[in-house]
Amino acid sequence: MELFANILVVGIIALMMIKAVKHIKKNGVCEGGCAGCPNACNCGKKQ
Amino acid sequence: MKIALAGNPNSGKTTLFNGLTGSNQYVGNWPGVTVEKKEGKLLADKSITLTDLPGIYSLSPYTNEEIVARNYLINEHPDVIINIVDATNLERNLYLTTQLREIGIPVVVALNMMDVVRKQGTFICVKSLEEAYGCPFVEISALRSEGFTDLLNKVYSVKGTEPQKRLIFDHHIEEHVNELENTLGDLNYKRYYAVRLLENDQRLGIEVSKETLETAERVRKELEGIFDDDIESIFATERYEYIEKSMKTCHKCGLKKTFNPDTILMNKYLALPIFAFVMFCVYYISVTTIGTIATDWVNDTLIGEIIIPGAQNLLASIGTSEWLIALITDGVIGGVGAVLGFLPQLALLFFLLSLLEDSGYMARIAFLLDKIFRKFGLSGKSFIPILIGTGCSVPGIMASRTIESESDRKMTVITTSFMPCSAKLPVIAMISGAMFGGASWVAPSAYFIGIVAILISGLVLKKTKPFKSEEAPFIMELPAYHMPKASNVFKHTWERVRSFAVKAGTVIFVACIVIWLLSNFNFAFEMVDSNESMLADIGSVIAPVFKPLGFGTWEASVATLTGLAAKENIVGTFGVLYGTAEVAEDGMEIWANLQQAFTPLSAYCFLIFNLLCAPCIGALGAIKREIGKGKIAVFALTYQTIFAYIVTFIMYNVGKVFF
Amino acid sequence: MTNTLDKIKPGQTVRVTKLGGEGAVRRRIMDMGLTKGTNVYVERMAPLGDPMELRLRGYSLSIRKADAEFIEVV
Repeated sequence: MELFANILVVGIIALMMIKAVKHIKKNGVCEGGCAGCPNACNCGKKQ
Repeated sequence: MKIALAGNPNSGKTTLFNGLTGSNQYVGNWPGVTVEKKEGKLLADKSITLTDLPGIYSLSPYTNEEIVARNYLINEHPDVIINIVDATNLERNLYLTTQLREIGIPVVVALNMMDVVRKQGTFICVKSLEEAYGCPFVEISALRSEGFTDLLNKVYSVKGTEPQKRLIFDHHIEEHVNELENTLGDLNYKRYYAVRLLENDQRLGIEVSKETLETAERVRKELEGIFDDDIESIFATERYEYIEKSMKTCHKCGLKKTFNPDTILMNKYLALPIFAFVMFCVYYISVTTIGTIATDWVNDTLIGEIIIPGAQNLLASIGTSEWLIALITDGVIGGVGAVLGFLPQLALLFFLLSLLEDSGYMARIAFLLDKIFRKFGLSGKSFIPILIGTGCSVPGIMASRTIESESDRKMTVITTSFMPCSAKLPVIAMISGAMFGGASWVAPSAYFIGIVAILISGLVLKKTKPFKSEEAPFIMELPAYHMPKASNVFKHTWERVRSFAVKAGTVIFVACIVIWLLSNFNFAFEMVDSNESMLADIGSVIAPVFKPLGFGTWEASVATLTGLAAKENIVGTFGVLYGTAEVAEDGMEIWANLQQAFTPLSAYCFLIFNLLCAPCIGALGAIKREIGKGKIAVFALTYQTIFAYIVTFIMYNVGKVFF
Repeated sequence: MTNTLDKIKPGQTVRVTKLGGEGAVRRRIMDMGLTKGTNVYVERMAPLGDPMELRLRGYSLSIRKADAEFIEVV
């Protein structure tokens, strides 16, 4: 039971981590339309 | 098919772009909102690309964003140019029209803000405008999405045609321009190049024959002789005279006089107090009053009493291991939650800043403060990036492109991040809440120190070689005030709130997990007390550096480091390190632990150092993009860090004497 | 009587007769519509005395006194 629950939780976290890292890779740390950005889509991304 | 959208700054290009493409680009009521071109597909026809260019007053490139616009028009060969014209400000807007139609690419003029024009009771005769400029004019209102179909129909109909010939200039000039055109052979956009050559444009972008150059030289001399004036003045005057003539037949001004808020807002005695009051209100309301009430509720009740116990029970009930429960509650919820807890304050700040931007007050602030800023070697226009920078440094840094003088621009780029951005706001709120009982002076003082740091840097940097220069001009349009549009303000606020939340869910989330792992295991991968963890070892190595500044603990050093990825991480790190599981029922425990780790003075020094030192990676990237790679970017980073170090060092050591 | 624009008191309307100065600033001033023969209404000085706000061609323009000094008006 404990092992199963642990694998489940670790799995979920790992998945979220992968998703987050992918997102960061794509958008950069400043997160696309970061607060107050007049160029909502462009910042952080390579031009 | 490619369509380019060109027009004066603040004429509503981006609103039209959003309307035609269904995108969500940023709109504001100040000149220079858009500093880069953007592309989108038409909603009506996906095969058509629409490019939104930065606003330009003329084709003689003067600032960087104007060069972007001009280069696109000349080098990318759009099929049609939509020239958007602010119909409430027709005369000056038509100046660019006279230049655009010269290029030879078919032009459709979109008369924007016709709803406002009608309300003012002003009459514009479209027929005579079309007659005068030889291209179709369409009445639209970008804000209300009126006239779009009409506009697109006109665009299709002019594709492949050339603007009809109109004699804009005096016959002497027309003859001379024609003569120069003939020497250019079968070049594209001959007339455009001929005029630019005559005007002695230094950034022509093409090689021309010696014969052409000689002809240009001779023709210019002849014209200057005929008009007894210099060539630039001749062309500008001729264009405006033609526009004035055309205005006589097609434009009748409304008689309705509206009240100008500037009589009060820019009053000699009231202006500065009102400005100070407005700025104080913005930060006081969002950081100290309403915002705090909401933030406290989220932190203490929602996260502390509902989410953390809930998650604990859930995980325990399915039989998860102790350490994993700790990772979720301390690491993920403690860290990310500590950051997200500040969302209400930020939402309020974003909302109030949007109101300021949309109303037109922003340009007045630049007008108001120019004299002060100039004393410190900066331009009044530097204030716009600074104010934008209170949302996020990255767009603030980019907004500096509207500053004409290269050295002023660089200086603004380097100093903008001194201003506390929205990511630093949670740090301010945390220190203020934990160490000073939420005293109302802490947040405003952070902004005040930011401004002072910028001004002092202005003085210091002006003395160094790369920034020494002639005084830059300040020639700025003051846009008309208008009521902020509710949908626009809410959209801005929502966009910013959303991206803050997304950032918490990505960057902060990953960072918190890493910090939790590093702070709970030692190098032998055994689970240990955080004081013996890997993170403690790493932090202890750097801590001596911060010792003279008053916060030489390994926790504070690590937080400063993680803050480089994103400043919210400082709060997240403290959330993970100081908010241990057994005290999680009470969200205030983080505060209690902070009070043990810091004295008020060292906490304040910690805060100031983190506000002033190197900004987050995102902002550093923006600085690099804006001022170029290499030495100067390194200089920027070094300068900021050393500056922060010296200021904090003085503050701590002087403070020690008194407190 | 010729005068320079920076000397004009708020509330007065003047006509531009000559543009001095040089280079990019001058160019920008002309692009913004301050050309020979233009009627300019001086709306106000900034609360701190500089720059000044002008009304011309149906819109408001702000310009520093130091730059207005090169603009001759009657």
